[in-house]
Amino acid sequence: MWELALATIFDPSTGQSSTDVDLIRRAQTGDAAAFEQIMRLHERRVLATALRLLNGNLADAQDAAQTVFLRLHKHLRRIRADDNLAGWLYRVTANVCLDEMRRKSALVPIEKVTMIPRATTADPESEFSVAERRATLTAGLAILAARERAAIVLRDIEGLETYEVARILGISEATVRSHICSARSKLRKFVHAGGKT
Amino acid sequence: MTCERYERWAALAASGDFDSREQAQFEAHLQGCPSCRILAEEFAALTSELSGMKDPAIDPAVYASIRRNVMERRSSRRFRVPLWPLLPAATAAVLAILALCWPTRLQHNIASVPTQVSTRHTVKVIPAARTVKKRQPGIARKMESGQPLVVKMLTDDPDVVIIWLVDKGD
Repeated sequence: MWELALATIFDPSTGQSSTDVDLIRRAQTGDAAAFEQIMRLHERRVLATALRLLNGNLADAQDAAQTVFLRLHKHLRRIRADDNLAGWLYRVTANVCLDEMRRKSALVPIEKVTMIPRATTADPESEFSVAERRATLTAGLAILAARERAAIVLRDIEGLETYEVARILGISEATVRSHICSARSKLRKFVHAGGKT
Repeated sequence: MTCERYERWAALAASGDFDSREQAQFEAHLQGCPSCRILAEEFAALTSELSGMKDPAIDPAVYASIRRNVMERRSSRRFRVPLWPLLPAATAAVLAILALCWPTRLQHNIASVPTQVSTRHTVKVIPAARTVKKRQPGIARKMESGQPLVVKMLTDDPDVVIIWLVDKGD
């Protein structure tokens, strides 16, 4: 299966750690605690990516995350301990979400986003402004084509390099740049229009 | 090059997705084009805001729920015996049985063919000429006049009758 073609991506922030190597080896021998620990280490990146790709629908993102981790469990024995687990997870997450997007191909209202408020500044007005702007951006992500959204989520939100995004999505770097350029232009116009298309 | 074409570069400049030649060209353009400079700043701000969205504040209970569900479904999968590791062994066993049986069956078939034919099929040679001569004198006349000899072989299967024509000249 093409999902098993593990990306050999080097990324200092997400690359394979010695903890991952050890945990994968233990999980491969049937150690449930090790597998759970792998989930704990990578759940944020999987769920957050799925949440952005699936238009902020938490229920769908949860389902996608579960599917990703079940696939990880299913293919655990075929994964080499020194493979880039983060890259593999991004790749499977993107594929699962793109499949789901194709299946649904419907926009989800932004009201469905279920997140708890986070206080980052002492100024409530500024806090509201930031939250409002992020809500607008989240809504803006929903108007993008699936591939554009995947590219910008991985490149701008998850902070991966262009070549990593290209490997994860299975497209060329030039295509990634094209998607990113188009997505940023659309988002900028969407924000300028006050969140209206 | 018009400013319209620089919009694409402005979008890419935010993350430095340029080669050095393009970067220099774009920066030179920005020196004399305030509108493109504003555009580039807007894209930079947009990219910065997007990067700030990396960690959505998700209730920890959601993560716990995912882990629980995965671990439960993982446990139920564990009890399913995977059959694919047995496939090579099963194939080898079938091949071994076939290898053992094949020569025996072949020899048995070769040896038994005549026996089976002789026991299953009763070949009766009917002296056609005599029979015909008695019952159908018209045909007997034909034989005498050089018509071929007809031998009918009856088998146990009523649907199978072997007819053998023998030229009298032979």
